[in-house]
Amino acid sequence: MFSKRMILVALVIVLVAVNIILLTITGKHTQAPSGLGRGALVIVSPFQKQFTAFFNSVKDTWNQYFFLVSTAEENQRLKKALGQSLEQLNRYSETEIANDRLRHLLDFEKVIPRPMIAAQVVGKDPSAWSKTIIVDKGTRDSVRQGAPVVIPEGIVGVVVEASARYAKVLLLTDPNSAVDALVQQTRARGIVKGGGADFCVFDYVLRKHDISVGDMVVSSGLDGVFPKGFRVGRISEIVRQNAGIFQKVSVTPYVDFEILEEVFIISEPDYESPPGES
Amino acid sequence: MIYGYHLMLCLFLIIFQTTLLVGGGTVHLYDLLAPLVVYLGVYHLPRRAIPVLVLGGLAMDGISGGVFGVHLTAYLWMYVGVRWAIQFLQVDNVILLPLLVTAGIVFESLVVAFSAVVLASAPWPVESMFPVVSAQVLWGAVTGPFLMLFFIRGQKVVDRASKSFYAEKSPLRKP
Repeated sequence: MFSKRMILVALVIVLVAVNIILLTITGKHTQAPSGLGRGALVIVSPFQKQFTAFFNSVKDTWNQYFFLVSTAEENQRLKKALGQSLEQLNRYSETEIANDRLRHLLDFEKVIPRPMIAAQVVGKDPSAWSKTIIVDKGTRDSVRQGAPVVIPEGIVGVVVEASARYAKVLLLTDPNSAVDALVQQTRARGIVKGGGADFCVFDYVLRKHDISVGDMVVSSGLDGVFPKGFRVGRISEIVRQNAGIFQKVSVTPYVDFEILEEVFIISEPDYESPPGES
Repeated sequence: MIYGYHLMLCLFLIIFQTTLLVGGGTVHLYDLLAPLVVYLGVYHLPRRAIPVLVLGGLAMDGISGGVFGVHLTAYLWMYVGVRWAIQFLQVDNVILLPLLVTAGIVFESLVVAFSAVVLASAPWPVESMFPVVSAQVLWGAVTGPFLMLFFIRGQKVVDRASKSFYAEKSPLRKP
């Protein structure tokens, strides 16, 4: 009744359909099913670490011996920047003391600092369609899924998968990323989402809020992932359409994701047990 | 021995493209495992190729932050396609072999792009597909055939080494 060729074609169509359905299911999750992603981290990442270490040592040797000429100039520039930073730090110290005193007067709860774990970037996602990095710290170092990752310049991303020694970090620029944020000057709130390329989109900012290009965007702390006040980026474009209640805002992250080498993973705060509690 | 060669090659390519080649200006680099899949499809039977494809696909999916299973899917279908194509294509031809490699890269780039634009939980805009895929195909068309030649040359070296190894071990060997 059916030729062999027809059966083969039908079989291929069924297999393609099943394949697309399975991919649609896995596409809804950022984590790999049944720990298969962790398996890849366990097998491949140790080699990535050795390879990255070797590559970095070659790069350091090159930088140290062949680019010493520019060091003196850079030293001058850094000394000047350090002087400015010290002056700024002094002002901030004064503000912090005043802040502590006022919080104490108002009987605010004490902010518990969260410990940070330093990690080295050992690998990056080769695909142009997803933005992730692999770092050399895992569950053995108290790194958990959902832990925020930062550097002094700003927010890097969030841990999406962790094996014992390695973890996968979803970068801020990936379309799956989202950070609850606010504009530092005007306190206009919204959600910063990854734009895919080297920018982010600041969604749900009401039209009534007066914001301008160059304003700093910081984390609001309301998403329960990123602590309040971490730098996200700078507003680079604003489009106020005639219709709609929101404005279209683009944000350029402070972090240069192309040259990331070390990051800090923020772990859970160490809550001290009250005296008498076992 | 040939299994070892393929697995080492696969691991080397994954590490190479996830450490050295990222951040070096090659933003739209194609997946270097695509020419390897074409090479396996042309020169190796399923019992030799499938284990490498499955392990390579799972490793790439585990490292990448994209839709899980998309690399594995692309590699397996590409292998099937190449096996089908070589039934009526003279792949030793100097023009057809590079064309087959480029076709493999086009297929792999389109599958991964389709997963990012259609299947992902936070899909990319469709208009971003063209520049990325075209850049990947261009890179692939230029460098992919050279990678293929490298794999073929490597296989010849491994075959020679394994022949001499077994000849020395052979009980029929004259003292």
